[in-house]
Amino acid sequence: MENSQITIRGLKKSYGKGAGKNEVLKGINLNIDPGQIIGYIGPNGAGKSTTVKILCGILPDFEGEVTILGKDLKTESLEIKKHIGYVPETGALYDLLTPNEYLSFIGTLYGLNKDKLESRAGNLLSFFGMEKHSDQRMDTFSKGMKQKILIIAGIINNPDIIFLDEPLSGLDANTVILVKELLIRLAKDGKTIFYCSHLMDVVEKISDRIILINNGIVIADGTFEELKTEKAGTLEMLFAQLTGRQDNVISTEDLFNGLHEN
Amino acid sequence: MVKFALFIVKLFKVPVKWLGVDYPQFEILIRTKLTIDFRSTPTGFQTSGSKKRTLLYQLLTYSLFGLLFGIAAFSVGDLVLSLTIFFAVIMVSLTMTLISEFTTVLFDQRDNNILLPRPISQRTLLLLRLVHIQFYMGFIALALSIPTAIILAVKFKLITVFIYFIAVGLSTWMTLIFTTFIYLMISKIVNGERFKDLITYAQIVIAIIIFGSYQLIPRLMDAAVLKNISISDDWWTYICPPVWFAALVKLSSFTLFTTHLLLLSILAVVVPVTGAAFLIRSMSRGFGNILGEGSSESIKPQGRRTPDFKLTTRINKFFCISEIEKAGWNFTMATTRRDRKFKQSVYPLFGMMIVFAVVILKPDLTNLGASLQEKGELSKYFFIAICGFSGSSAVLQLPYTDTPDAAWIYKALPLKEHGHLLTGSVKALLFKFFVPIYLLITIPSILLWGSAFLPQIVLIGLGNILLTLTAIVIQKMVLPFTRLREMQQKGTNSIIAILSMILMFMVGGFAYLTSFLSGWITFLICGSAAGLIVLMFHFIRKKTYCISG
Repeated sequence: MENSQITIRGLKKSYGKGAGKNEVLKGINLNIDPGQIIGYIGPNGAGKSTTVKILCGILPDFEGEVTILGKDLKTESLEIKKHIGYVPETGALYDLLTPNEYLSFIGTLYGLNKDKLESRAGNLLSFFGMEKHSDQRMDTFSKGMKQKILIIAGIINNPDIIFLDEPLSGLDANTVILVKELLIRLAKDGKTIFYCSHLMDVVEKISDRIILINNGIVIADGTFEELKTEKAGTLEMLFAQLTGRQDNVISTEDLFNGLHEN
Repeated sequence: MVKFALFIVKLFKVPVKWLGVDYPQFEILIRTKLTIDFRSTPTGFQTSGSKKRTLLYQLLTYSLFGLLFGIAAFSVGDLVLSLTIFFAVIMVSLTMTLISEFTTVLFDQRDNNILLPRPISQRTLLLLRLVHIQFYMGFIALALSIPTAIILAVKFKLITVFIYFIAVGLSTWMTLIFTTFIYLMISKIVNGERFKDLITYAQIVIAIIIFGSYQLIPRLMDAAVLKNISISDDWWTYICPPVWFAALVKLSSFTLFTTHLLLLSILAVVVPVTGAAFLIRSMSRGFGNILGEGSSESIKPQGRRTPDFKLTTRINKFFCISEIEKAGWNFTMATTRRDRKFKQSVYPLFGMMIVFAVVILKPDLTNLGASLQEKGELSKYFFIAICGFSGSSAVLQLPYTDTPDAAWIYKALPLKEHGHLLTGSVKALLFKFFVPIYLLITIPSILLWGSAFLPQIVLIGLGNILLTLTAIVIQKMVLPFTRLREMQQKGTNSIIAILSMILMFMVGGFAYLTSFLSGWITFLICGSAAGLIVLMFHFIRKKTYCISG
């Protein structure tokens, strides 16, 4: 796997210490090729966001080896960060700024010159239909509008690898289509897309490869065609089968009876 | 003002590059940070007034303090000695503000998701945080130093005033990098996550070091200085930063030139500059690790409830009059136990109080018991009052949180008695911080100084609670955990703390006066104080909160 863009070997991450130690990732091994769309899925708390945060350098303290674009994440993270983009899960942006100010801030951090920055930001804003809002402060924006700005900020440096954590959350149906098209187009351009999502139908349709993790380990990995079985014909059914509700002690029926009690 | 700060930053373009910092990145970062600080936040719950007005109000208050310091310092004849005292006062005040208010800014992780995925070096990030804090600390230092500048302008040339302001800037910077240096040294010994647990202890230690040495200097001076009322060529002047800055200003007044003054002035410039270079170039990695250890604190396995939780929950029925008040109590107990930023703002005060207590009592360590026994009455009362204050001051931090948006719950709930939540929270904090500290201090005091002391101790305790409640009313009775910790607010918090401390001294003095009266009268005063407390709780509970925004 010499030409892998991302190589992960024995990735472990735990929070806390002693008796309170909580191991979130218990040894992840992956090779990811360029130009692919990777759907990274798993139940809540499975370790999806933690993986993405490690890969884009937010959590520098981890066990195992990670190589991105041929560079070691532990020693050359600054170099790697120039070539990746990240769209965070929660609305992590300075919402007292306007989209123009924020994008020019992010662009400057990547060392983009002013002209290139303005034309890129302008194009991306109009692609998402945000140009008329480009000089309004973002604290008045809806969740979906902020999400659009986050996506723009994640690709403004023309990265080779784009990590997206729940990129579709809060977006309306039309924008979901736009983002899907954008991701497919970017992958065709040779860019690697690594994204977490809970929208199984979207993951099923656009991913070249689906990686399912549960309890900090990879439990399924392959294209949707490879993964689907006779019993589980959709990704949603597959997901339910593999990550199951077997540990649910209380059934929906019991729950409702409880709610009606006084 | 932001423009002026950016102009200053531009002046340092070349040295910043020497530090291994990416200058264009650094400039846009500091510009963006300051721009955000000065935009109003309409989404906030119970918004405060204009941010520029907040700063203006701070400017006036700190200038007033500066005037008092200046008058005190310049009552001594010699310029170097006056300025030494003045710079010592400034540096100690700034350290106090720094460790109790700005430590949370230094290690802030709120914008990790914005900044860490970008190609920003750890050096750039560290310098950003330092300069961002320097902006606000510099403002406070400037306000403190204006009155003295006027005195200098009258007595000396304009160049002296100019150099004086540079010295003020350097002394602020020196305070900042020294404190950061201690934090980063500790982070070298322990890992990032452990460091966050230790940081409050580090704050207490720094408070003790700074306040302790501040107390030591006059004693070193005593012998040498009091003979000829001026600072001579003693060895200790080389390890005492306030003397360096004083020497720098003295040198620029062209009234005296000695090698001693020259050497001290060189130290004043060289130490802050090389210190910064050392800090940024060789210690920024440790800083990056602390930041990167990330927002992991929330991910702790549940089901490990401490017995403390159950105890405080069971006990609330003795103090709270309504279910909503109990809810406020439980909510505050749980939040303050986990919110590191809350602890970081509250715990350093304990360190300062320990030093204050020592300063007030000045115990003779060779004969501790006897020396404490002999203390004058007044200092005993001050001691009790100030220790009590360190506990009740925790209440001043009640409004602040990182997640003011969560206050929507107050609006969404079908609830009219918001005041009950606030009084429940206040009672919880008093119970958690004030009561233990006060008992810890007063029980040995009674053993040592006798039970005749008891009425005054009760009186001081009640006075303390009364002052705390007054402070809450002055703070416009903000509901718990509904205000963002804003940069501009930090200077104001220090002012409130200082003013309350002065008021506590007055409570101590009042208690001293009552000790001349018959015990019955003191108990009568205690009774009315208690009545007043009940009334104030009632008042706060009854207030209707305008829930808007």
